[in-house]
Amino acid sequence: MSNPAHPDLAASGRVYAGERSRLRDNISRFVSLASIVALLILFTAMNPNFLGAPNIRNLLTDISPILAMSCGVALVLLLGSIDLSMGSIASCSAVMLTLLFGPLGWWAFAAVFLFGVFAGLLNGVLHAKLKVPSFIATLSTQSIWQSAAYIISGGQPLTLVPGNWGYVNWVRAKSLGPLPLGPVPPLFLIALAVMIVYHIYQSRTGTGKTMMALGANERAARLIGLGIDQAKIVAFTLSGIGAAIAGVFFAVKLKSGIPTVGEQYNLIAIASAALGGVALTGGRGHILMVILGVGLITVIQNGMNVVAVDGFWQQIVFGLLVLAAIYMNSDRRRRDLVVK
Amino acid sequence: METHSLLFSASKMAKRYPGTTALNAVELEVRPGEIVGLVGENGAGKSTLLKLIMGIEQPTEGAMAMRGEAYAPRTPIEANGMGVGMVFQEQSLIQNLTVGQNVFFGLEASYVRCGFLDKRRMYEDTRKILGEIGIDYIRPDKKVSNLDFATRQMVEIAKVFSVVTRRNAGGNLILLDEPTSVLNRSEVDNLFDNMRRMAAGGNSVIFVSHRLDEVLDVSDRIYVFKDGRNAALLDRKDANEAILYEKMVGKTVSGEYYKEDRQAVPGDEVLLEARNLGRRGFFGGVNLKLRRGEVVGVCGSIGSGKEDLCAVVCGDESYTAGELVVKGRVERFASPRQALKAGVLSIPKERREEGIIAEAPIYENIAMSNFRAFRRFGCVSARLERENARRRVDELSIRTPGINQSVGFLSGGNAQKVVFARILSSDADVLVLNHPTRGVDVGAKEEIYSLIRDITASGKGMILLGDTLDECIGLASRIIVMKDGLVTREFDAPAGAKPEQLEIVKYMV
Amino acid sequence: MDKQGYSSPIAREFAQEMARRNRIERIVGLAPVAILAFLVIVLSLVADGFFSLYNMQSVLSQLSIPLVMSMGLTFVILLGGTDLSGEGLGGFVGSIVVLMVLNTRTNLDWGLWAAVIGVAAGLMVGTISGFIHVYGKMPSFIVTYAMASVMAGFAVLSYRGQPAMSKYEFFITLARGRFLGIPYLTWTALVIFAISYVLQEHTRFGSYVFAIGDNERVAKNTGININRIKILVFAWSGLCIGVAGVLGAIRIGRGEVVIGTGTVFPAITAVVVGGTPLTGGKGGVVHSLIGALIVTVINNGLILLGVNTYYQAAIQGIIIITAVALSVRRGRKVVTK
Repeated sequence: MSNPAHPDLAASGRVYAGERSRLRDNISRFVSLASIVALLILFTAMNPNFLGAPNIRNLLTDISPILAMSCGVALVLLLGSIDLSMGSIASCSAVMLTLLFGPLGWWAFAAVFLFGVFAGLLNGVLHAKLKVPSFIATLSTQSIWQSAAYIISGGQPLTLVPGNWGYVNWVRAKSLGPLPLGPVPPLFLIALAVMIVYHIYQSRTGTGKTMMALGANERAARLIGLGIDQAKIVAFTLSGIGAAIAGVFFAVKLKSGIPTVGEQYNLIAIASAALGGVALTGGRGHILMVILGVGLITVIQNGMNVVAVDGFWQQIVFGLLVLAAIYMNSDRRRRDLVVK
Repeated sequence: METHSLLFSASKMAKRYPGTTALNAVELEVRPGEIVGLVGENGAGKSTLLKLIMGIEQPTEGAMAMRGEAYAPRTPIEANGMGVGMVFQEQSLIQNLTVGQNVFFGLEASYVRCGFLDKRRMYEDTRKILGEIGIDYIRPDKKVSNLDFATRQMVEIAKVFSVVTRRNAGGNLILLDEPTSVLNRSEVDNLFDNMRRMAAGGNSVIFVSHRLDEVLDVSDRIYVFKDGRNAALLDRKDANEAILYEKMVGKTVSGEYYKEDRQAVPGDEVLLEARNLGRRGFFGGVNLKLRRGEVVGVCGSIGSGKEDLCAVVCGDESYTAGELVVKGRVERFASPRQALKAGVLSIPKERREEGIIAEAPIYENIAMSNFRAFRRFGCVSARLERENARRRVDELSIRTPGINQSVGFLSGGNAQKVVFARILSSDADVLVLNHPTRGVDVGAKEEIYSLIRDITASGKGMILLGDTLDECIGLASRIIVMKDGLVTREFDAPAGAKPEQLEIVKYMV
Repeated sequence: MDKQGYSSPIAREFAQEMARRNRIERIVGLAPVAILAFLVIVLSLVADGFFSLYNMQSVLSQLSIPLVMSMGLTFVILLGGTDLSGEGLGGFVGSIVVLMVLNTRTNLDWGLWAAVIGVAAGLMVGTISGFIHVYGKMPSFIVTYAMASVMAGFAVLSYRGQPAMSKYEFFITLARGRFLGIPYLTWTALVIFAISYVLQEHTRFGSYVFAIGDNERVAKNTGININRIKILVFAWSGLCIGVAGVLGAIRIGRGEVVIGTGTVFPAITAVVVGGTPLTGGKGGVVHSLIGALIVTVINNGLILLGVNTYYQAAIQGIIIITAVALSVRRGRKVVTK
């Protein structure tokens, strides 16, 4: 009685929606790409230095941490879950890195990486094993890591002592061995590598494919025999790693560990992924396309800085962008859909 | 109000879905003050008819009349307004509201004064309604979550009763869908008393149940449905269980239809064994052996525990008693994934919700239960996935424009064949088939039967929950019958010497 | 048929199982009160000065903002949704209220009307969030999360980076004054609690909120305008956030976005710890009152014990995860996102 005896009819609405959803994916990507181009033109017109080599280098440097974070959160969004703790994981990482160069030297990078693994793993276990809804689990861990960042730093920004600058000078490298990099900063290359690795993992491994499948239909994915919990935990772990990498980028870029540096980037990362066509409801999206969203967000942010708009406008604009991006990707045609 | 000899009538009712006909030329008449029983096998069309009467779905053909006037509700609310209400199988009470709030849920308007709810008056009226159907021992200000199951059922009936009697003094129609499945005898008796009292007040009741003794106990007349059609209409005095059985069982299709000649002879190796297996509150004491090449059919009505047995075997639920042995090892699956690792995989009942990832392409769906087999250099190779998919699509003659197509675009039969392709591509050799031909058109059904024969011939074993009893008998080489969570009988069903449906039904209801 | 008249032992088991679950649920329902009592007893023993009239008054004063916030949030969570807009929206309302009373930055002096406008602004933004959530079919947590960012931006925009100081006498009276030993701010919060209780228990709205949280489909089939109820719930939550913003402004006497900072988390903790699960459908405002007391007593105790304030947020995080993990249904077929 509770089950309709007519799967085909029930399906027909869904099939239709499926067709639309492909179209919608493309639309949101096109919108992102077109907006980037339009904004580049606009900002260049307003300030001709916008597309100069120094600013391109700036742009790419700004993109790097957001890209690392966005690719991580994109995996979590594919599950239909969310990660709100990335900002404070990044902050904590930045603070830790600054402090750890002293005792650990180069190993500080490894330690922070491990911290990212741990923080992400914690989120994943809380969500997958204890069945805590992801938004509340990660909201809680965001509070925990934010506190940790304050406690470690004593509430003050930490500056990297000049003696330890040796560990971060590679950031300004203009060439990779004999290979000149031009306006491309090394950080961007690392972020790009993260994106490609995440993409390959997502699309070419069983666990990665499980993420997509369970985002689309968790019940079916379970009965098909896929490792649901494992995929969830891995996605959150990769998100934690992405956040830790972003934290490292902040620290080496600024030569300091600011305990609030990641705060605003949580929303920015989610906005980027959504603008790149990843649906918040899960099961739809493409990691490589996230770079479009990140590009758009960074151009807006950077452009607002270049034409000197006050910082609080950014909060307003990014908030609205998130709403717009998610609206574009949300499935409104299914009438029986219950959204909480 | 003018009185008519009939309270409700439905004529030539039909409901067709793409590929299947759920109801065909069904007639039903209900007189005022009458309790009408409705019996039939699963899928005989009882539930579909109730849905049409309640306006949950619209008939493809046919007309209904209530008190002589044309009646064509488009929503349950409209049906309520015309004096028709239904007590659903799954309860629709709001757990954390009081009895009174539930009885008048959605109808509070007349108790609102200056924006506030006059609860006292509402509870007084609730008491009256509870009194009318003889359950005034229930306190209207008690939360539903604090009531036991049987009492909730009564409140549910009171709620429906209040809804339909609201606008109409007498002559209402109340539908009860399997209301007795969780009640004990005294609760059932109480329920029947209430039904008779409602009927004495000029209201009529349509009572659907798979328990024939209860139907015989309470109904004035009994409609028997079979394969979506009227099979018989009997007065209570003319009916007994044996007659009802006989009328209920569907047509027996020739063994040829089920490819009986290709039924494999079971091997010796026991693939799966249930020893006194049980899940508290759902089923218990199940003993079962599945050998290579064997199809064990599980028959039973709704609530017999067969679905839960299925869920336990494929790792979707855990068991609480006995043990489950797969290929000689005692297993306690934590998830379907673990079951798959031991070689057990299921074809779930709700294909769209449980069997396929509708958004994903065909080739990925086919590979999903066994990514390991398609790995190259540590990565899942789309090329290998596609090669396999192409082969399976040919082999199972899945009709699709291409393997990159999302499964969601396929028809029911083809989507089900994709599920079979996935299972064939996996390493599983114990398959749990839960309604494998549900929502599949006739042509595809035959192909699936043939496929089932091929699979068993290759030495795999199957536990089968058939879409119809006939299908279950036709395909199975052994049959266990379940009722109220216990196995009531086991039958051998070798090719050419299949048990009669009638005999099996006796142990089901 | 057995002695109790069940058709099979399995049916009897099922009935027993249901009864057992009911019993457990009833016991678990009392847990928050027990936790509160336990905390009070333990803190009285270990924290000097906890069990004093002065400290009780300060607990009540600290209670006001989390209580007001949690009143709105309770209804949202009863629906099964969430409202994270408090941080930004509370800050926004607090900021503009101070700009509208006698203050150091503008020439306005609208007195109490400023508070009314502030609360109205909260109500309006809440309504907008509800509207976007319902008609955009977007999850409420992300809509309100984005809304928090937008409103935080508008908050800073309103005072252009330099917060206004309130010079409004009445606010100062309110901030310090007491009636029957209980601070005015707490009285305000208690009034909001009383209104919430009446809304929950004595209006149709209250019943419908429970119904939607318990089983949206049933509510819909009964002919209830679900969308309207949902939007109203977010509007009410916005209003409560507005009141909390005003109280915050009165309390610190400065119109700054930080008024909202760190207010949402204690409020969610209060609701969840009180016994309203995030899945909705059960619990209610009385539970949240107990929850708010628990949260406030813990924070107060931590301060008395001299715990670094940075630890407080972390401890709250741990509490909320524990509470949710304990309250969550962990059936195998349950899907959490």
